[in-house]
Amino acid sequence: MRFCNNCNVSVVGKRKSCPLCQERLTGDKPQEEVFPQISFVYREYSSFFKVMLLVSIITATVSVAVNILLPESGAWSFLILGGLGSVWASLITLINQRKNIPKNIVYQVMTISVTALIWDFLTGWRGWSINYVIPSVCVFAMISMAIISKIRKLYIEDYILYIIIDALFGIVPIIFVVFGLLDVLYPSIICISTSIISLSTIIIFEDKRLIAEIKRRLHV
Amino acid sequence: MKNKKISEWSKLDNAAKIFPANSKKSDTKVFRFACELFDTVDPQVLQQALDITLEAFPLYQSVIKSGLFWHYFEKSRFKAVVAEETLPPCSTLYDKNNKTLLFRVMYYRKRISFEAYHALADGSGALQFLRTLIFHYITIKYKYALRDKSPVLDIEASKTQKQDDSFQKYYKDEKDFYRKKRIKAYKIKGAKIPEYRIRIIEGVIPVDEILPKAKEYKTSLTIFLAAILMCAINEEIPARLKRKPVVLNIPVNLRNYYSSQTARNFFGVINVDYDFSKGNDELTEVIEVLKKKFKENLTPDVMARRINKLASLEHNYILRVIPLIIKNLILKTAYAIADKSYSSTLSNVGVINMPDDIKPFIYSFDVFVSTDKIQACVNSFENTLRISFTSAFASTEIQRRFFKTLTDMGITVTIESNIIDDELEVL
Repeated sequence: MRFCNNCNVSVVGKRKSCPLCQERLTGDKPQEEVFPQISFVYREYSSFFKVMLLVSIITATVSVAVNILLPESGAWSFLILGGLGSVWASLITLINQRKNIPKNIVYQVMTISVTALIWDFLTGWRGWSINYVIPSVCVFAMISMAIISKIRKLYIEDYILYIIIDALFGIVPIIFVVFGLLDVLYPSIICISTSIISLSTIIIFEDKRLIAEIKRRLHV
Repeated sequence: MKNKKISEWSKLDNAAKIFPANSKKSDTKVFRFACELFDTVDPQVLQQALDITLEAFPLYQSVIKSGLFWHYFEKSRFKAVVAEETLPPCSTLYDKNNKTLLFRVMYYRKRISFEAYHALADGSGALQFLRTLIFHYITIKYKYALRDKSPVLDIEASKTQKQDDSFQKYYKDEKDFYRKKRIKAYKIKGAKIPEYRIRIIEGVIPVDEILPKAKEYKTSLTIFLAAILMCAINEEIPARLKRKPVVLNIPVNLRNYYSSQTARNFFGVINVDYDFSKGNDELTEVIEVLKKKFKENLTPDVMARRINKLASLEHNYILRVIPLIIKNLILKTAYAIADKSYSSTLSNVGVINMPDDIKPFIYSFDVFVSTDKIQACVNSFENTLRISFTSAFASTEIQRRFFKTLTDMGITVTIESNIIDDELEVL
């Protein structure tokens, strides 16, 4: 065992200096370390994000600057800022939820729907968000959740809540239909029917699990 | 796959509720219990021992999920697998986006390490688990040497007793307006180690050398060590900041006050302070003051009051129906306020006991906990007392002064520590 004359302690391991006072240790016979030596991990993906972030900021700044210098061309830089904002919003949810795929899908449905609504509203409401985007995103989410749960052999407890949320959300277009807000009907009709069918399937076959899940999630 | 059984679930106990909201990379709320044997660990036997142990601790087979109002434990199908230690000590166990079991069992050379998330259990709860694990490991591994003996572990608690939420059990609905004045403690500051790593510095000390010293000061080991730690912290305080008192946070095992055998959380904390700007910085003086403060705080009455105060919040209907997202913010604030009231933590787990036939295979036990400051855990096994400092700070001055005080008293100290950076002097 090695010894520190300064601190008056024996030191276990291969160190050459004292962990307390950093003085050189005396004595030979290095021993095995008690703890494994674990080096720092320098995260690799962070530089990729830094570059992405810088590119976004440059694009935003340059377009706003050019737009200010050329005011007669219209307020097009807002579109670019909005676009960048939407991409980042979607990307951040995607990364935060990357380990829980069903939850990720639900979050993506919400983010995409909300951004589409905002875009549609700000660009003179042509109705494409409720005509096409929201219904197709919902259907796509339901189908992908069904496929992913089979491929990844997920247990029903892990995704039942998310498939229910998505199916309930998928019924919302009924309001658009009833109030006659739609110009194109077929995406919404497909979405509503798929949602009703998946909701019923779960309620009929997984009623006990569903009730148990609701009890757990809502306990006070 | 066609398992028709509905997953079991249970609520988090009162003390556990604070942890999910306050776990972060810098303080994962994970603690480790390790056991150093005389032989290299056999992973296969360890896995067998773990499988048997888990049967007796059903709650450990859970993940934490979030509901609309509260977090809860849900029984999980994840299989606990022993692994060689490749993670930094006290790495994250609870990540709301990445569900895993709330404990891990690792081995490195002669050491078996068991890490647990604090919402699952407190020190003595986790110690029950580790003792059971080590007991099974040794009885399987050394079957031959133990063939004439039949060691029995002294844990008699049933599965239900182990899963007991003792806070609920001993809560009395008493309105109590007792309020203690909050003291703003001196906060230790300094450069931190990168990547939220923690530095572990442990002093191994013969019990028969340190106990007589504590006796010389006519006090208990906990108070003796607490006083030395407070003096070591004090010497690090720049003169202009001496106005604030040094406050130590001491966890108290409530099982000593109630007849609970739960393997979950059942602890309280007391804060003891010493104002070096008013008092003398002699060790004897600090010990005298601490003796008085411990005596005032460690009475069954004060403990009962603490349980009631905490549990009454949980029984408040208005607080209960606040959505979890907002509750998390409240819990974060509450934690941040409590965190300002102490400088460091000293946790004495006490004497760890094993059946006599098992003891010869064990060298020592080790306990430490994640921190974003500096904190000490103490345990003893046979004649080995181990004081484990975990620290997020790059500087080791407090630890150095602490152990220097002990060696100056003529106590033998052996240091064990982890190498966290690519320290150049290492061979």
